Amino acid sequence: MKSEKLQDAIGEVKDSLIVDAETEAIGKRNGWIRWAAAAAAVVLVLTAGILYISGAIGRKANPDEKSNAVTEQDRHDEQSDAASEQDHSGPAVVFSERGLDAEYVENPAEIAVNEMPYISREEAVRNLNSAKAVLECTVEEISRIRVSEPGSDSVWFITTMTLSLNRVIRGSTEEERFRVVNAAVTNMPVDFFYYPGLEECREQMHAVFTLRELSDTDVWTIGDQEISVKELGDYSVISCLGFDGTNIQYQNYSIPLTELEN
Amino acid sequence: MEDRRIVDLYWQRDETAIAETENKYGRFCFSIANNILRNREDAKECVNDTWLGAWNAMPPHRPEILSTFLGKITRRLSLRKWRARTAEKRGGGSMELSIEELEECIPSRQRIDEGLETAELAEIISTFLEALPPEERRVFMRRYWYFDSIRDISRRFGFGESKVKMMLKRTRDKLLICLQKEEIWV
Repeated sequence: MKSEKLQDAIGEVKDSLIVDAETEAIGKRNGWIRWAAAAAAVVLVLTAGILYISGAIGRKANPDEKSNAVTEQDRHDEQSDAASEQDHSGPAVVFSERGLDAEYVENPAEIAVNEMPYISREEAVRNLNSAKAVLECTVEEISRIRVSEPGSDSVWFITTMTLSLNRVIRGSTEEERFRVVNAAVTNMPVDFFYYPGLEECREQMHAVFTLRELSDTDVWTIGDQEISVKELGDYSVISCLGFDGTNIQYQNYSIPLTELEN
Repeated sequence: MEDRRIVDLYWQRDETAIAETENKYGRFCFSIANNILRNREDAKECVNDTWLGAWNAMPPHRPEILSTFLGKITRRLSLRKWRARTAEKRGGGSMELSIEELEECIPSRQRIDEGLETAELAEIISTFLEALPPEERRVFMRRYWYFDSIRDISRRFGFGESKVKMMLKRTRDKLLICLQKEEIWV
């Protein structure tokens, strides 16, 4: 009982100490997240490079093979056809057809409850300014899938969304609707990596999204399978932020639109 | 939405305050509750009770830092639930370990004065923590305020688990000395 009193007293310590304990983690985590991002990017680039090189060598060795090769478009069409036949049409098909164990999940917050990803204000501004476009959109559809990586403890957590444009905040676009995708990976070997804010996205939510255009060379390697990210979306979305008309908001800070580059 | 605006919504008795709070701090509060209860359903219940507690407290209260205000409510509710749940079957879990560790901070053959207000003791502990080196203080807070596991703390700060344990042990020893000096006993 006496230790409970001590426990209660610790619970009532000054707010600044509570915030301070959170702040330290933010600083540490930032470095870690940057490292994870870099590692993920390296994996992506290496995989894309290897695929490109092996593809080029293959074509050189068997020039006739090209006519029989399954194009990205064919694969996309095939996936779309297969997807339309299922209740949960769309992203899970991409994985299940490759023999990967994919399941839909309702609440991403339950995936890694102790992980509180955080990006510093400076980093958020940098992200906003380096994205192809920063858009205020409405989430029309959202799907979340968990894909277990065979032969490892890694779990891929993938979110796909269809967004409809409300307003261009930075950059430009001719499109009105966007297919976007985002992924997080556990134990890979960089542990959990998640872009902030996206876990809170839900249908009919209005928010600000930062989009990066995907290319054919964007590839995820899950187990021994290569997944072209473009099968899942046309853009990767790196954040989903609040917006009050003049400020973009994320957790404890807000970024006035005036800080964004045109 | 900015915290100040959310607090305004509470004061205006606008129920969107709860949705905005949940949107912004749901995960934060759930994390605290789940660290304590290790049960998603119970943790969710405590988080929902937190929104109710916030609704009842504002007005008249106008918290300066909304996150810690909510976190404290969640922590209190979760501890209360945990104590009720485990009153007859303690032992073994992470929370029990945390409590056992804290017992080391209490002067031997003495007990914390039951009459001493929690707020007074909190003030003493705050002063004690403020005097600690930042890393030591933050590790202590992660363990005994947020109830993070040793493993989570070591990952968070980039320390080995043994280093975290050693830091916590030293801090508890210092707290024991502090409480003895403050004559926190009967």
